[in-house]
Amino acid sequence: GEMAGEKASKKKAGKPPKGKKRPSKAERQGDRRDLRKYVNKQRTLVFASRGITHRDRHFMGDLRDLLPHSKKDVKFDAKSKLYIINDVMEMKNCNNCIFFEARKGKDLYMWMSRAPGGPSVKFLVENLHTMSEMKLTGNCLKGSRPILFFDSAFDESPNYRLLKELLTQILGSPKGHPKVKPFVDHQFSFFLADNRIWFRNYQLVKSDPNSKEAVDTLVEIGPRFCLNPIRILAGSFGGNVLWSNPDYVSPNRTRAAMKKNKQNVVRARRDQLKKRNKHKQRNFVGEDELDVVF
Amino acid sequence: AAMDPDSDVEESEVALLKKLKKEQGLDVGEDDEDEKKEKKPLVLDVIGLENKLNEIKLPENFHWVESLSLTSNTRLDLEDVHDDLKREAEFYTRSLQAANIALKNLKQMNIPYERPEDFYAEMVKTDEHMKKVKAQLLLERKKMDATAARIKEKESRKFAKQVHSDRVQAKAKRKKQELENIKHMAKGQPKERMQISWMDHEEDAKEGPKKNGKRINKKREMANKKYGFGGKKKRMKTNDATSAADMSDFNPRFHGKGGGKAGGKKKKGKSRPGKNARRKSKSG
Repeated sequence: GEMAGEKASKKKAGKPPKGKKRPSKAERQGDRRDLRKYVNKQRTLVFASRGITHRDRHFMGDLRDLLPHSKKDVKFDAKSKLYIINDVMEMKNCNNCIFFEARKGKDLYMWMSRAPGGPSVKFLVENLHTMSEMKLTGNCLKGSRPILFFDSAFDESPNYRLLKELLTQILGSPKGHPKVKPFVDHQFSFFLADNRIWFRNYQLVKSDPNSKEAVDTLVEIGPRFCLNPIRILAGSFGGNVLWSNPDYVSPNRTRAAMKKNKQNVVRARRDQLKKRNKHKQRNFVGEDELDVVF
Repeated sequence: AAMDPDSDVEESEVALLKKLKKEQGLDVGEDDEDEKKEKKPLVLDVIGLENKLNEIKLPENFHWVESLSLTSNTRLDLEDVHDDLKREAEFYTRSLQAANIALKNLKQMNIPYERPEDFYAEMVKTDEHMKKVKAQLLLERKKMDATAARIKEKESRKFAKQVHSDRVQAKAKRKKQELENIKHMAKGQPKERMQISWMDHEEDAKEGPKKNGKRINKKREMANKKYGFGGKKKRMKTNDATSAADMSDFNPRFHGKGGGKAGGKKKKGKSRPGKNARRKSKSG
């Protein structure tokens, strides 16, 4: 009533003074408003297949804690029909997913995908250290947003550029999400070395109050792992292969190679023995008369 | 090498060589063949990748704050990936640089990122876990300190032994010198050679009274007095005025019987320098 009247009177009062345009309310409130707006809508489903080991389960739990925009789901049973995951994602209303495929009780594969129709990547997880290890002493606020830092090698090839984008959207916390706090106290670093993606999670600490820099110490929070990319598919858990890693060797193959090395040792010793025996036969040395002296 | 069309070695020659090797029982080198067979074809669909990237990319008008992602300008080139210390150090320095740049950006945009001191919220690792981590760190520190103390103790023992032996030698030397001085005095030599220390009673006073050349054991003497033969013993265990007023047994640090404030000993005035200071002054 009164407010409307006031508004009306203001309009009637006339145009604002020439030359100076009054900025809109949104613009006046500026950054404060932007901080609360939830524009980058990401929801990530984090779950695993049956047969996951305790360490990998803890790792999954760590990821769930670190990604405030994540959702849980029960163990997925159908390893041979991974396309069903798309339906699971739809039911949970998630547009991203991190799926842990556990094989043989030894190997952990990680799928990252975007639904619907987005790309999916399969990685082999290596060198895994969970957050609860005693050597990883850092800590961070639950729900704080991470700084994402990528090595420049991610911009050098189209496959890694795509991976960088996927990682940014899946592992980065969206601003304005209800569970996300506006503080920044940790950083995810991604490096490319030895044809693998190395992940580190650091806590940003200012230990020296006199230093000019905002941060002078990094303490590792964990988890710490290596992702060996296997292939990138055009669709979510299906579709054309956009890129396959030529340097990827499956863990079965590496284990076989190690066993073969052991075989070679035995073989070499056996061959050497044969040679020795042949040599002895050819160069027969009779009994020495002096052997009985002592 | 045989599969390469440009190589000099002919296929037939390679086959002959392998046959000879097999006859002799040497390893033929089957592994290379296997690897060559199973070398995977590289699939790189550049157009497909670029299209996909454009599909999923965040809109251009999104502010940097939406993603908070940074990419470094310099490439990470590790000589040896398995050299853990170097690798982690490289990761650390690069991440630190990037963190500072990101936070500086945030500051310039006037976007607050620091958590206020009184904002208590749930952390990713529980307080109990952090307590365990702290305990572990303290344990490691304790172990290090213990080993360091052990080494120091060993050294100081060596040093003390050296000091003692030096003192003994010096004393022997002095004794010898004095005997000579006495000889000189007897012969009527000038005053400089007549410095005889036993005339000053300095040396002996330090050592204390002696019995047959050996030091008196005070505890033994007291026990002998109390339980030995002879002497007055009738009223040895009864108090008199002086013994009742005697507070020498009272240690205020452990609340003993009797009056007095609790507190440690206070060293008034000039205190004796510590072991390290004494050692330094001696050697330096």
